[in-house]
Amino acid sequence: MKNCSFHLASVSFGLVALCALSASATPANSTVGDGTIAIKAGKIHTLGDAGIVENAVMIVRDGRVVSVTAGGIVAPGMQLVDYGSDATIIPGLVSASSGLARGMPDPRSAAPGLSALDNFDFFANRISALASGVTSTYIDPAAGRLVTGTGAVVKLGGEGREHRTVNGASAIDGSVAADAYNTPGFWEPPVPATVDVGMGQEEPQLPHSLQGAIFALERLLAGAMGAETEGFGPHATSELGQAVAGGAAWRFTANSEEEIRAIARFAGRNKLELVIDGGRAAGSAADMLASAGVGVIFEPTHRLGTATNWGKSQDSEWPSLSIPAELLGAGVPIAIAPGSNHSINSLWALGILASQGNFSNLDALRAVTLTPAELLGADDRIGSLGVGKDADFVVLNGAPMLASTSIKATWVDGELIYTSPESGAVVLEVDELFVGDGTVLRPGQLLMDSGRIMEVGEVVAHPKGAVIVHGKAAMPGIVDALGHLGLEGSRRSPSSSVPLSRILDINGEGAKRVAQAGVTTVVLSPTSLNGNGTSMTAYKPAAADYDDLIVEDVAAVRLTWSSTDRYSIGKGIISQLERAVKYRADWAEYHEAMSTWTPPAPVVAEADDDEEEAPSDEEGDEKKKKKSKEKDLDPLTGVWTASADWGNARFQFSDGPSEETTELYGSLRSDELSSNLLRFEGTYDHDDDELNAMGVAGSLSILAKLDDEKLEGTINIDGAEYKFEATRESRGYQVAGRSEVRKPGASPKAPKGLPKQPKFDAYLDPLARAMDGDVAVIVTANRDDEILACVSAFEAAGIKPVLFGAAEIHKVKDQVAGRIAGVLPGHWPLRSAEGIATVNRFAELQEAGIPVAFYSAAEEGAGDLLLLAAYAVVEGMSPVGALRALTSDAAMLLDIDDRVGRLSAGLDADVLLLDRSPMQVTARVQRTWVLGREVL
Amino acid sequence: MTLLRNWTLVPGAIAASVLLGNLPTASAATGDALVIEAGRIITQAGDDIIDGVIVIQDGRITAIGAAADVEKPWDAPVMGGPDFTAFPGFIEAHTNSGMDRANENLDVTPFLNVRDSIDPVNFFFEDCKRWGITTLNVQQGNNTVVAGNGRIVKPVGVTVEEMTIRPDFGYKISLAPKSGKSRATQRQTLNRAFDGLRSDLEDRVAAAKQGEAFAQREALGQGRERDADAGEGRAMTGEGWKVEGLEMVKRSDIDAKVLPILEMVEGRHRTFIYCGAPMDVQPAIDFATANGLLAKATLVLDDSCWKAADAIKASGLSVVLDSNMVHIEVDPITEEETETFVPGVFSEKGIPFALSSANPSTNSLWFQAALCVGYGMERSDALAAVTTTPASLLGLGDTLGSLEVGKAGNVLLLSGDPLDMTSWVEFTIVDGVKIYDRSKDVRNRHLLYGVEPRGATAIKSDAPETPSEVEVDGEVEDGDKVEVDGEVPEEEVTEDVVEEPTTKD
Repeated sequence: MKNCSFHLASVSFGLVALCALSASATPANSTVGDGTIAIKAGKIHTLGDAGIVENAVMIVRDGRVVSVTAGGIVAPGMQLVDYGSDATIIPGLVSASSGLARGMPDPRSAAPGLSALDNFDFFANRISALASGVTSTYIDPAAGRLVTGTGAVVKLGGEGREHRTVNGASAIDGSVAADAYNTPGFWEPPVPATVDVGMGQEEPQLPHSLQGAIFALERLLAGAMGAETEGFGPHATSELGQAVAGGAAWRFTANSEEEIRAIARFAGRNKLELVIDGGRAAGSAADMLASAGVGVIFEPTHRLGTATNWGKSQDSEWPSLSIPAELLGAGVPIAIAPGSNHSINSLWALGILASQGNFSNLDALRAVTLTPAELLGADDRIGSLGVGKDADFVVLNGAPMLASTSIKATWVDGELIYTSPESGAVVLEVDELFVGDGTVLRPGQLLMDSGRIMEVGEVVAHPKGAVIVHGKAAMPGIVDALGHLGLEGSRRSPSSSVPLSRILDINGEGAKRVAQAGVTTVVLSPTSLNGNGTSMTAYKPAAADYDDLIVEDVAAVRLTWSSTDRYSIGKGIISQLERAVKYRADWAEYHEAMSTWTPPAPVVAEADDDEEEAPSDEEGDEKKKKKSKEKDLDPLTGVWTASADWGNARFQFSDGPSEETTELYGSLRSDELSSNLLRFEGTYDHDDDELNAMGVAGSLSILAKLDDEKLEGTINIDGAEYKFEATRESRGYQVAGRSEVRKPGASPKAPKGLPKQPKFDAYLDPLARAMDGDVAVIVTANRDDEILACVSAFEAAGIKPVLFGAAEIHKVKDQVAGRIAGVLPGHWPLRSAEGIATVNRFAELQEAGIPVAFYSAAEEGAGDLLLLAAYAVVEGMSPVGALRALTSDAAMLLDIDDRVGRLSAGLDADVLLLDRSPMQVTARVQRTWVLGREVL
Repeated sequence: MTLLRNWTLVPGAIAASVLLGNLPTASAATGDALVIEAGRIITQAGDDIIDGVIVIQDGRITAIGAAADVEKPWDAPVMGGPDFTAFPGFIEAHTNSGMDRANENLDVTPFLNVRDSIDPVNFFFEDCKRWGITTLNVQQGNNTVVAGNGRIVKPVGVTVEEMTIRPDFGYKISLAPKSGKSRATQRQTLNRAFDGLRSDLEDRVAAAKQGEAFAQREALGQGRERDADAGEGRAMTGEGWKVEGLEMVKRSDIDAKVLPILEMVEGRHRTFIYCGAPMDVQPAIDFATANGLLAKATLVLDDSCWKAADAIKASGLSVVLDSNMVHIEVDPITEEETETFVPGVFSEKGIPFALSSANPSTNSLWFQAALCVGYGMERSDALAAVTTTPASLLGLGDTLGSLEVGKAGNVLLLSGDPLDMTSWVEFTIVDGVKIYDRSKDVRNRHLLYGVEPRGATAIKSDAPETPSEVEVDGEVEDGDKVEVDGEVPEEEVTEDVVEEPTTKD
């Protein structure tokens, strides 16, 4: 049983409102006031005297609008709800027709006494309509009669039947269209039916044609004025008389031009206030309607989502969606409403679709808000956001009545009724969108969702619930082609068999600031290199969790050709390359053999052995479980957080201490203590539950005692002591998710004939993969002869290397162009040349067709990359080239261009929003998204 | 063995008891007395009595109390024993079962009477005895605008008159649309029925005034004293609208088809107003107020109507709840289900409510009350909703609903607590007459224990009679010979009950 509510007595609307309020993220600084609410938005379309108010604040009290003003100043004590500058507020939509209260019609052809209110369920849950922005609607009691009854205007939210009835007698509702011509004859069974009474017979009823309908209306009206009229039963004329005396408008369905003209003439003759609904052919009678002052509620006849055969002949009347434009042009008040084929929830869509021709989106807005309210006698309360009107409004994420806009929230009577769930999708709408490879879209839009770029173009899809961000320019996140961010000050040279991803951590303040400066991807290189190839990991410092951190575990391998020892120069690399070629061939052979090898049929006996072994394993598990209950043998591994008066700290203990060992390793992240991640190692005393650790680098010592799942102790750093008390957050040692490396070794029970797997070599493997183009090779080589020798050596192995440094490459650029992947030149963009004061090296190389990329060779210094590029441009580099060197070329050089470097569908959603075109060196990064999540 | 302590031969009853083991009401000879002993008497009027005795004379309880305090008539047969729990007969506050049809096709039919529709041998009434429902308010169904006259009956008797407790009792009015109507046309029809009567009466009064003046002038002209036929008419009473001068119209002149409506407005009839949705509740209250029905109205509610509980509370009306007591709503956006335990809402608000059973075989009143307790309701509230509350909302609080001196001798002897799943109704006594004895419930024995009804073997095909069947026949004969007024002979039961399931189902 779900959610059984014994106490539940409030109606569902109250619940929805409550839930919606609590789930809302908006009331950031709400204080308890006198119930006055201030709602802020970039724009409010009041449709009242105030018109469109920019940077607006709407004050709401007791469910009514108190004021709508520009300027955005909110008095203290009010509850503030800020929807942000991109949001637009419009009045709640008014549906000028609906079937919400439509029931069986009266047996008589005219039943003016039938009240739609009697049929309307004020207890029903109307959240779907409210979620689509409709806050009020006209209701009629029935369809298919000359006079169906009395229609009303009701609100779809709010408290109390009386309050929700905006106009209980909005109109005398009827039809002169074909649907009214099928009224059956009237027959009342005699009680009791005896031999002398007889069963009686049907009394035929008008109308069966348009003439009959108009004739019947004239007769009814005459009867209502006191004349003798027969054929409508004993009640119709007196009830109509009361309705006419009450001043209700006549709202009649008329579709063809004849019907429209006939009912308009009838109203004109009798001086009745008329509103036509349906109006399928109202366009051709527009002038007559305008002069008669008749409003039209246009109900599109097209079915949404279904194609309809409208008839092939010349006379066939194909419905048009430009009727509103034609009527508006003639000066006829026009409302757009759902037809009998549509749900009330489609009003927003119909308003947009029926705006063909010269009908702006603001005209459409009026046609679904103010005009219907006016035509239905409800504009004293709804349809606009003037002072004193009901605070029924809809919050949009863009301009009203656009296909690209969706509804963020709906309010009724100053209460939040509905908030659309955040889809997580973000749409950027910018004047200039720099794809990164030189292409520019002006204007450009980009849709990102689920961490990926979904669509890029001049116009993209706007999913419901998407956040829409407007701006000047967007470009891909910058790639630092060689950086150290993440080493946390370590100068050690790690072994290639230990992936760098093991040391990476998230949540650093530095990583966040680097990302806000535009750098979203760092290709991490250790500061000191080993001689046999140092692996480089491409990662996203500002990623929100470990799974997203790594772009590529081994993106590149770094080697050094240059050497002071001229004799041995390059020899190590050449021999390594040769071994790598053989290594690759061995693996290729193995894979070839594996692809043709057929495993022998399984032996049944072996399976039995397995089963026998299984229970003993289980026993062992149970024993372990029992042991662990007595004493936690793994008391530290995992994440611990501490919050103290001096700041916050986060410990991560990796691998131990355990049953076997008392040694422990871990790291400490505390922005208050150090800007770096502090690594430590030490021992743990299982008997006394005491921890004693020393920092790996620098002066750090930690003394702590574990007591009842709490770690209490002191951190001593640079002579200062900090007390802390930490609690365990998780038992897992979190490591960035990384790509699978080739795992060595076959199973111990390798069947006979299984090809033997070559040994995995962590140094040769990246080079072998580089030959397949999976891994970039970055080689330091500076002198021209070194460069040529190096390039030739790699060419022999089928690798196009990336040259690092390459101080004298300009001398041999024509010889190496096309044979190398690119160059990571030194930071300084200029070099001296004979006769010329300075030459821009970046420009020079790009002109020669050699891609270059910017890199930081620093940790948080990566944040300066944009400025490095700007200076290069100041000194003569092409701005387009500089942008490529920061993004797409950098990604290409490091073989991570399948993930980052461009704004292209399918790639990671690493996007920068700039305050001006990146072609201007003064452009600044305003907002940054990493994998679709904004870095805040 | 004390089981057969008091037994009497009731010769005339044997034939009738074959069918159900019940005594025909004809033998409820006035002047007969009955003494009921029970280990526990749940009186529904104060504390339970342990080891109590109920004395019923002339169909009414004349004494009730602890065994030591009550003087038993020396010649009265004694039933029950220490293993039994005595409980007042359940009261079905509103039902349209037991009739051949629940509704007429016409909209407004106050001229109809359920008397013509109740079928005394309907299986429904047999089940009522079985489940201890001793009083039923039979009204026409909800598919109507204004329905015919109802009736309070007991499930005893071979004619409707014999069954009747209150003849011509109450009218059903529905605010929910009859089939083929919308709510708007339903209410229009309803209003026209009442307003039409009013304007008709006003016309008649006006005509009568003219006639009166004419008669007076005529008498004056003829020079004679005019002997008015006043007294035939009667001025209108009640809390609703009034037609002044109605005393000038003979009641017999008013169309008999609508006369009951006039009587309703005058507050002379109870009305049972059906609401099919919460949106019907406020209009129902408004309608009842405008037409003077409020004082004697009871709302018959669909399960969704809990949403309008505040309006009901404000009106002071009592209600009969739907047999479905858990209302389920699905949120249209999240598709989350919300279940509301309906009687709980009314219990919390303090609105008098009676439970109703869909049909006695599946959701009998004991089950409904037990379910309420299962959902967290106070036991006393749940028991009241099937005994005292329905009695008082039917205006029978003085005679039914509890075991007190002066009230009707409607007693159930149960094998355990009334809300216990394993309890059985062992005996049902109505007006001091035993009408049901489980040990002789042929149908029950057949369905539960496979005991073939007497004579069934003859109809059976050519299957030879087995020794076991002969044995069974023998037992039934024993039961016939010895009309036991005491406890069930335990030996017999234990033999039969070898495979007896522990629940009632």
